[in-house]
Amino acid sequence: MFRLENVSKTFINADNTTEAVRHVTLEIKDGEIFGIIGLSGAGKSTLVRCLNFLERPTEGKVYFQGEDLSAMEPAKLREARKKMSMIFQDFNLLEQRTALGNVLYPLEISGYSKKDAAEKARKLLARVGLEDKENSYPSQLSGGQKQRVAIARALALDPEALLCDEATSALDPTTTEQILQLLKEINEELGVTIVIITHAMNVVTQICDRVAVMADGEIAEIGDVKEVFVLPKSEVARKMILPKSEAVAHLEGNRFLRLVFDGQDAFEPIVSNLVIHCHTPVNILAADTKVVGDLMFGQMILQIPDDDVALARIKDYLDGAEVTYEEVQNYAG
Amino acid sequence: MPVSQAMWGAIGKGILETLYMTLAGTLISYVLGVPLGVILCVTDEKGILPKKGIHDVLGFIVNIIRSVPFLLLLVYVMPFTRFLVGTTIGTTAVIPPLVIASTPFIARMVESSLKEVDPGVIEAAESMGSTPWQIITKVLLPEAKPSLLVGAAIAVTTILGYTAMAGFVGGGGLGGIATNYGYYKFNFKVMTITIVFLIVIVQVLQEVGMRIAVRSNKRNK
Repeated sequence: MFRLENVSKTFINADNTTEAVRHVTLEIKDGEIFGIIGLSGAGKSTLVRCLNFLERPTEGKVYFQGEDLSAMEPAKLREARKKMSMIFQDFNLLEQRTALGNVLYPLEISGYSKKDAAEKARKLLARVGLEDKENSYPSQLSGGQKQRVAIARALALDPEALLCDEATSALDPTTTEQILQLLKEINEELGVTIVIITHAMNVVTQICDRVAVMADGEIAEIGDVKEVFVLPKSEVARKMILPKSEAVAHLEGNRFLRLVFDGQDAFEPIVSNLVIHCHTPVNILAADTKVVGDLMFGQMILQIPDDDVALARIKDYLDGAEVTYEEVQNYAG
Repeated sequence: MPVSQAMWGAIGKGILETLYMTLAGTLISYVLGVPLGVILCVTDEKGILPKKGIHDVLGFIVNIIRSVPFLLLLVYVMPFTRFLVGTTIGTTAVIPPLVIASTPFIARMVESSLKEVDPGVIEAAESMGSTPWQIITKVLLPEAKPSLLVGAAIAVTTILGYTAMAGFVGGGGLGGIATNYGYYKFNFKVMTITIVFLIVIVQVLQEVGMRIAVRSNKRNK
């Protein structure tokens, strides 16, 4: 779908020169979900704008469906852009138009008749789950709803590719998940190639097929998400994937909890949920299973931080999860 | 000395003349000022069609005209006014200098309203393959509409102020009445009445303009 050959973009201001993108060569295949991840300032937003020539590369070539964008006349470039729409972190909806009006915009500029445009726009709003919001203005919609309108608008001209510039960065985790799910469905149903720019690893692991890790304007590493995730080769990829060092800090103190599970509980990742929920590390010292009568029980000894607040949080969580537990003093192992 | 029936008649006529000059002047100034403001905005180096030469030349002309006080401009362009309307006296003769003075000012206001439009929205429109003309007509102007209307409310009251100045050089309207009766004959009552009417007209125009602007804005609903 896209092929970049030695693409560089340098911004020259009065007092400084910034090499935002440096010698990037990569290929994005038809129908895949391709992630470009990097810390802020890595050049990923500039790179994605080189894909649709919102930024003209200072060097190198960008091919879209085999055609060199730099060789295109303005009119031809506009036609090409209609085949690769874009969504943004800040949604960038027309504030003075309704949700429907926003989806109508690309249809209006492409010569659709009023009737066809309205019919298509309504279908798209229904596809993103906003059929009841067509008369709402952006200011009346939540962040997630605005991004849905933006997605419907981006799909209006049946694009081949969808470029997402930090499209979920302004959204809360639940909404992020829903938007990513929607993007995945669109990719599967319509075969639209999706390019996702993000600084969040979970966005990549959740929906991307392949990923390029960017640092200082260059591609540090590129490959299948699983490969990069399991065995990151570059420093920056490792930094983005591995848990923060605080989380694996040493545990001190001698407070212990004994957790008892019945058969049902064993299906739930109690310990990992506990760690995530309580933001506190625990140390599994021992675990075994015992058959009691007809039932099987598991038990586990956890070492917990010497911290009353953390203990209270853990107890509260376990109460909520209906796990049987007891505090054990001086567990000797 | 009570205000005579004839005087009231003159004041009534003055109000109509003032409204005529203000509205006609505003209308023609907008017809010229909006395209000028659009050109100033889009040819800016951060605009959608950067053209430094055009931008700088237009900006220079606009700044020069805006620097000339209206009363001086009014007198200075009299030969042009006579060429255009055949006379330099009367309400219609006020319109050419009014337009010359107001157009640059309106162009600047239009430019600044258009520049308030979120660059992200313009970028989105570009990413969808919009032509520059489509961006101007379907994005810039509609998105800036509430701000443009606020600008218009300010413009119309400023232009009304100009018409009063025109009264001093035979332009008619309430300004003419204030000049002839209030200034030359020192009729304090007539002067007061014209000022009260001017205040009322300004307030009404301002209020109506602002209300339309607020109502048209979908952003804060």
